[in-house]
Amino acid sequence: MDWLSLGTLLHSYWTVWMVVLFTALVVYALWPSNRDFYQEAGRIPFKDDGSGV
Amino acid sequence: MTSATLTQAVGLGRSTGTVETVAYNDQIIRYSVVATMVWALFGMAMGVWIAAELAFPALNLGLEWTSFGRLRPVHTNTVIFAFGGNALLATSLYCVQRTCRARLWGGANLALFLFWGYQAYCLMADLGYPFGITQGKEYAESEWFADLWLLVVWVVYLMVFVGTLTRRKEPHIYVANWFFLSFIVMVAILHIGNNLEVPVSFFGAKSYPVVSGVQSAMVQWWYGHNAVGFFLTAGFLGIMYYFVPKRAGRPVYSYRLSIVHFWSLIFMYVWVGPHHLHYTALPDWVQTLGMTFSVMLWMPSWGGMFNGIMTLSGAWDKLRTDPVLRFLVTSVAFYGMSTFEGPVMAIKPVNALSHYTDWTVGHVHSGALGWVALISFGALYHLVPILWNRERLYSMRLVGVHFWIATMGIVLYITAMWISGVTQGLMWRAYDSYGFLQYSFAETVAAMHPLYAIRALGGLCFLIGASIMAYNLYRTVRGDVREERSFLAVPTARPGAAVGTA
Repeated sequence: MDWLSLGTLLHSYWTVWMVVLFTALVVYALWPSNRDFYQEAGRIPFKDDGSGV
Repeated sequence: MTSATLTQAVGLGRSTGTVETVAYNDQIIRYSVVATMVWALFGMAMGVWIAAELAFPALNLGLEWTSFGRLRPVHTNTVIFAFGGNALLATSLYCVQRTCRARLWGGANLALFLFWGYQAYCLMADLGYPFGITQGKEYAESEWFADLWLLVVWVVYLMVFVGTLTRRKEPHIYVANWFFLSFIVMVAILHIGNNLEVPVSFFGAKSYPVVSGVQSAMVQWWYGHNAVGFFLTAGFLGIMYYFVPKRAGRPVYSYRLSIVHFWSLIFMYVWVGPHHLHYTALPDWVQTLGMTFSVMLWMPSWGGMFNGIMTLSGAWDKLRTDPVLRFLVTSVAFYGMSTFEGPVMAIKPVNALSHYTDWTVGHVHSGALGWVALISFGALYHLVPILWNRERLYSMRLVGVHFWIATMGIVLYITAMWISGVTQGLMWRAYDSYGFLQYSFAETVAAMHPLYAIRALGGLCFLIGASIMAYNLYRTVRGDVREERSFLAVPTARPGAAVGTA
């Protein structure tokens, strides 16, 4: 199979790859061991108000 | 860059640590806040005028330059790009500096170029429309020379934003910045894609698009709906994810949900444009694709709304005492309403009734006034005392007055347009017993008259509210503080009233 055929094959399943990628992102976001990290990330707006010039 | 180090509480008093504070570039943000208010008043005044023109055609003044067709793009472009764009400029550049703890990339001069360059685009576009200099593409009316200039300015915006992200001291990029970045990147892609045009001459204003026919329509509505999706939704969701937690004094309800919300919008939004072209020459499968993704978009939109509103979980009492928070939370409720209504209208049988009617106008304004404008107002009320180093706003009571006048205006506007739209749709499709159309077009126009007058009144209420806000912010910037009874001092029971059970 040459590169062009492989490209055509992969392209024909474009929607599937997108769904897989999206699912992976959602699973990563909801993975239990990431809970604390994201909880801390939610506090970023409160870490600094600084001063403007 | 000047900076100082101090020890301060970190994250809602949970822990303390040494945090470096940065002297942020707030000059461009102050400028953008002022520009937001100026453009808001102008754009909304234009809206009221053209709404009144529809109810009372004499207001067209018999001049081509002041006719509805010429002034409508002045209104839409001003409120979307000038008012909304400046609100996004102010809030995104404020948020990215604070959440990255980094000063704006590129220095003060580049930021000033960005600000003035953007104002130049808004002026360039607005000045052309009354004279008929337009591409005639909705929300993309500006001609090729203005489009090229906007491209330059937008690339600078992207550079400043991404440059600030790269110099961040916070390891994680806060989710509001994801939304802001997606808005900046996607608007650039949309702007280029929909404005591929060939000028008729180098010194002339006129140009023609490189695609034509149904392809041109599809490109236009790929742009048009994603302008709504990424300019008016993703950008303003960035505002929501920073300013609602900030004002409520608590982190977003679920940070993980915000990430799912983000990626869902990114994956789904770009597909929904074809729902603007139901029952046209567009292939049927493309129409169905647009409809399906529109309905699917319901879930992430409501997830985001839920996340925004539930941020107040455990602090609902703040809605009673803080009218600024009321603006922010009500805007999120309108976001939920609009994103419910949109998918319903994208369903083909519903669209058969709603398309080309005022129902669409009502839907757009429920999002534009209820979501975009209210959240911008809330963010500006929050920002002005901080940016001008004032203790508080001049008058919180006036904020409350503004809130109720604006809400009343929105309700008048959207209910009038719903009734008008459904009436139009039903009258246009009504047949008599002989199979002829029951109503002439002129009869449907006459039926709309009282509703158009109510719509203009609703818009006028909204404009009055914005004028009150401009006055309040002006007095705040001057350093004035109005003596007034605190919201907290409102008695909950009459003195001496008996307490008991019914």
